[in-house]
Amino acid sequence: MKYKDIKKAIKNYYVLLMIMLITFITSCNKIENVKEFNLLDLQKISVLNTLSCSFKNVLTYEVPNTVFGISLPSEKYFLEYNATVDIGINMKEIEFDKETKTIRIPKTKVMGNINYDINSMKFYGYKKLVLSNLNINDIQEKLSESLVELKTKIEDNQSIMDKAQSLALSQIESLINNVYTVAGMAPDFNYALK
Amino acid sequence: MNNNEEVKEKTQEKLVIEVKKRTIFKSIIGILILFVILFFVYSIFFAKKRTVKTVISSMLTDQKVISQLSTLMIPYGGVYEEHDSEEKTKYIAYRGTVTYGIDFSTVNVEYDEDEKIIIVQIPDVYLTNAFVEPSSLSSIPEGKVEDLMKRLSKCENDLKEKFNNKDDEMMKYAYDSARETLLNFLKPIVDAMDGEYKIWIE
Repeated sequence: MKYKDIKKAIKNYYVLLMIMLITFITSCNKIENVKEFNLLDLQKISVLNTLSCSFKNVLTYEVPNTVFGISLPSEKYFLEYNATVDIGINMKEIEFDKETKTIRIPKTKVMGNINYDINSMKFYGYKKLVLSNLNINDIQEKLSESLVELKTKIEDNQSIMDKAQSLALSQIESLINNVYTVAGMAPDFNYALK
Repeated sequence: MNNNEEVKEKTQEKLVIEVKKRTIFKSIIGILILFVILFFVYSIFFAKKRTVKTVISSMLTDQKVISQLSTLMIPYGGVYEEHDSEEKTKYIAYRGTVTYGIDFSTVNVEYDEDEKIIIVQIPDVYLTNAFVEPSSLSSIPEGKVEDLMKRLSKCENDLKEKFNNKDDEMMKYAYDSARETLLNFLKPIVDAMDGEYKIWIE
């Protein structure tokens, strides 16, 4: 092919090329809104954490693989990481009944964030990723989602919650006992769960 | 004359072939462009949104008894400056939260017999948690998982450095909050004691 022929062909289709170029540029420049934080967001909290649980997690990513609507075998990737979860109570929710001298302790929850150990993270399938359908955003977003999912899983585990609850009760009782003991009195409270 | 006619015919044939070639070339270019346009239209309007499925499996490895009273939580949006070997600066934006608190098990209780005051002493406030939201990190080159992990680690260290200053105003807020929590919790209990006892948190 001669250079002139190519030039002419390009001239004939330049409108289409322009449309493609505009489509490409507009699809590249997606601006996302980022939530802003400021110091007005700081919160006074009263969270008493009594049990810290460590977990080894494996997050499996399954990516559907399709070319023009035709399904191909899906790709799988794995992210292994350790995480620590603190469980406790909200001290603001503790109730004291003066008449019956009863202290009611609230139910334990996963009160804070799940602390993932970055140094323990191992990703399997790294070499493939350059050509794969899994991108960095997927890895980031799904890791965040998995932390929320882990939180729910732990809260559903009754034995862990019960252990944290009894620890909360004993730590609260210990402080009250100290207050009474220093004043030379014997505490006479009842403890109950809310 | 015959020779001339032969030359003319040959030239005409050549021209026809040339025109055919050009037509074929244009058609090929046209088809290719059409395919590209179809691909764009398909991927923008008709392709199903790609959904990555994830499954998490977790194994409990350790349990530790702690006694930590967190009293202040701060959501934070930060920017970390990264300098690479070619002395180029990259800015990585991230979001996170930090919490401050005290060791609840070391709260000390004393008694002033003369004034009938129960004195509760709060231990030093410290940074109890620094969390960087993994999905909030910007500027991760496509395909480089190692970079994501390195930068998560750097942002976490950046967050800890920024908030782990003992003279920080935040530590004072956290201390006030701890004081408020203990006072609200213990005051009704001290009020219920026989006799007129007072409580002081310091």
